Amino acid sequence: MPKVLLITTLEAGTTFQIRAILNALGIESDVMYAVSSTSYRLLQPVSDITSALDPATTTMRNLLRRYQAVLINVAHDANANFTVYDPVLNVWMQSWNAPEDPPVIHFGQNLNTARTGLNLPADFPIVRANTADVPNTMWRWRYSWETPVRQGIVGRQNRFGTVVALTRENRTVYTRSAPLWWGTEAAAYLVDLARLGGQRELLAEPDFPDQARLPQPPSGYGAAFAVRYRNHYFLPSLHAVPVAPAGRMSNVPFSGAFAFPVFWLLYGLKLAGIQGARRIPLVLELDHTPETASFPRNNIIPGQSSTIRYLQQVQNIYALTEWLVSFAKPRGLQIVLGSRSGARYRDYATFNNHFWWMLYGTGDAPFDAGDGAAGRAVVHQVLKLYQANPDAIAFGVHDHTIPTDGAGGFNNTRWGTIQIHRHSDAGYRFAAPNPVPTRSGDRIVNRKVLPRDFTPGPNDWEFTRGRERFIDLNNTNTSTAAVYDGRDGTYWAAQVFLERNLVEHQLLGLPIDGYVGYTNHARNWHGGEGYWDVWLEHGFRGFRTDTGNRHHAHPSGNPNRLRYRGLQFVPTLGFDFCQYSTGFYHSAASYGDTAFGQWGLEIGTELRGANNEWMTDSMWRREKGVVAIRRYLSAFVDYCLWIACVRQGTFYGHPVESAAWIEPSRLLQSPWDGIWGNAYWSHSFTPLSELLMALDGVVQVLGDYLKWGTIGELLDLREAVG
Amino acid sequence: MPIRFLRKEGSIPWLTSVSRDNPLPVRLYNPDTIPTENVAIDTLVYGANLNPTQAASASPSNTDLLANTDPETPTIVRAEAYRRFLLTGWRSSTSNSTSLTIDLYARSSDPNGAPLHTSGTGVWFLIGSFATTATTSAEYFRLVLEPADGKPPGFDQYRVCIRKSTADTITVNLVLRGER
Repeated sequence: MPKVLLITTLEAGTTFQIRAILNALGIESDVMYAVSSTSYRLLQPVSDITSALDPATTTMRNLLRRYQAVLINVAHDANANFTVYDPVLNVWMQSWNAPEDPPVIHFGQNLNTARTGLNLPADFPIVRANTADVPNTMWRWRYSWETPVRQGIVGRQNRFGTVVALTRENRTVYTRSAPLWWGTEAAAYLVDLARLGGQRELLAEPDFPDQARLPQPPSGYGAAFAVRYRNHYFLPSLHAVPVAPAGRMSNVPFSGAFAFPVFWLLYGLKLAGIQGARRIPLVLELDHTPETASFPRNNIIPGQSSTIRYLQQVQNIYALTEWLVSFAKPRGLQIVLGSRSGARYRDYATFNNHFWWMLYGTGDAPFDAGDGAAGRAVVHQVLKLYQANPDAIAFGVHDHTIPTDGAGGFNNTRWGTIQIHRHSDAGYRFAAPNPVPTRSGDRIVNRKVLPRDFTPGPNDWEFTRGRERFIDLNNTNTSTAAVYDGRDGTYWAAQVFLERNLVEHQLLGLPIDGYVGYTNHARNWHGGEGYWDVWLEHGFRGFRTDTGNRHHAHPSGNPNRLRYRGLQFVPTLGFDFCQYSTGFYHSAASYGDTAFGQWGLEIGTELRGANNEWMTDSMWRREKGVVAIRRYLSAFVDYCLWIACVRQGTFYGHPVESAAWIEPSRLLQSPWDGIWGNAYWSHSFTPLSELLMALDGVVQVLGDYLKWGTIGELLDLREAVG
Repeated sequence: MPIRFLRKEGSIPWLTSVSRDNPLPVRLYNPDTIPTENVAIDTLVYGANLNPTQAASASPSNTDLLANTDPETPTIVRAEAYRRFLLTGWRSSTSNSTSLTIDLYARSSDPNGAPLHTSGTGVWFLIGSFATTATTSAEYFRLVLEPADGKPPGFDQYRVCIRKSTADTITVNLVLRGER
């Protein structure tokens, strides 16, 4: 198993997230703190090294040679005068270049002019950064009208917008990239082009779609996001997000948006030739397809009837689903899909946008004929796509019919009494009119301390908790009705809900079974132990919980390790483009609906314009749309990689928000007009497909570490990594 | 349990001598993921909405944890493996200061599960009586039910009765666990 040394300072809070990734990959690591320029200390002693080392000594060099690579996580900004890493650059980089000396990967090494102790060699290609002379010492990519890209909005830094070309692979990826940062600013290195060649290699450079309109480096110099000098590699910082105190991302998993650019860590491993024992699967979850959205202010084409809008939406959903299947199949991706289930046993009027009633509802005049009926036929085509492609699409229980506060959820009422609707399909244990407990009884005894020949009576209910069997003795709190008031959060409520959903999926020809072993609750609530026991009884291995702070959302603790009798709580991250809204632009939308506000893609009015030009000026949109798209994609590639790699979780969205508002002719069309490098927004942008393609670019570059996968593979990994 | 072999690199010439008494050295890896299910405590009884008998002294006729007042009926059987019982619960408030007392009765059975003696006197052996502090407050409580000598009781069947010290109406919800 390969082993790397992580060198950092106390300020660098991402180090332990880096270790979580290395652990998942099967790469061992030790941590060393750089205390001062003469004192480096291992976090945990290794064999004969028990005290601090002078980093410039032979003892240190011999220690480094025990590792396949050294990763340096720099937490200092481009204004900082610090000496702690001077020996790395003055000694290691210039003298320790024998084949036995491992590669050293620097993340965010600020080679700034304030560091007076640095003595860089004459052929070193990276220009010393000086924040007082930005144009001549670094490459800052922002337009004159852009606010500094590290200025956060409600804790989010989604505005880097960096697009990077990898010279070795000849591929372009979206990921937030900042080798240099200070205050609210970020910049790339500037390299002296005349000094490149041989062991001085330009590894990554900007490749923005609007590159030609951005500031240009001085003549003879180029912008660089990654550079090699001998066995030292200089990559962007891993500290992009200021959520935690001191402006650095630390191990605070549960609030707001977060993520450091995991891409660069994995790319650093690739440069160092470190091969992991495992690959991390990227797993996509989609909720609520093929439902449609009802916008208060517009139809897709204003003035059209609601049935035409409905038809267009489901046509879009069908086209998007076809695309998703074609994307997933060759890549081994199995999308976990949560179409809203459970509605078959409820009234059509209330639940007509749930999958069952979209297929089979009748008696609603606008949808029984004409465009409405045509739309329903399309929904049946979507169903056929699902049925025909179980390898690409798996289903979980996603029941939004249970009464809760807000828009509906799964067991949000915790242990209160709710109205429970169950199914009545003959042959099932919990179907009406079979009796079912409405709550747990008053006398429950472990089966193993009951008489050996005990035979349950009609009011005795047997259930499982882990390895134990219990008898709920003489529980007369039972009902034979299809609808009754029952206690939520109990084993019995969970049985009723689960059976109802499993049967509905069976009838749809979309069975949920132990092959997938995973389910994605509506609203990601976990339901409590009564529910968990039922999941286990039905052979489930894990279920989705999100990283929010809501009650019955993710339970506290490290989500990598949370288990209940082996049942896994899989964290997830939502990437919806915008919530029941209108994307980047729609003529009938108000600005407040757009993705800018939803995801903090602008500060002030830099994209929309002081006079709301975004809504009135198509040329304005063509220019600013490019910036918005690269901001969105670079941030969300990072988020998706972060949840998959650090937390071994999934990422999820709602296709309706990605497709329903798009004019059909623009769906899945290229966002770009013109030549890459001087491109404009075409007014087409399908966020879901663009995000997946952006992630696919990363997977292709980092195929030794990442793969598209199934939820079963992710659960396997989580069990292996523990 | 996640472990890692420490001699994972290089040859191990003494590998053939590995045995139960001479194992390969390992260290725990991620020790906080060690399964905790094998702790020797079993949950045995959940009882809810119990109204204990008012009584000053122990009697098998008092109500048991399953609300049963038949003095012949055990609360749990096949319980010879348990060293002691842990009873935790919650009680409602009362007007007068009231305590709860658990009387732990036990008896042995033959290989067929039939009690060795079931009629007349000496039907049950009283291991002990265990009382909460008298109070008017609604509160949680905990009692450890074990013989005075602290050694395993070793009986097959137990009748666990609950009584209260006043006539006040009181509601008790509880869980009985056994430590093996």
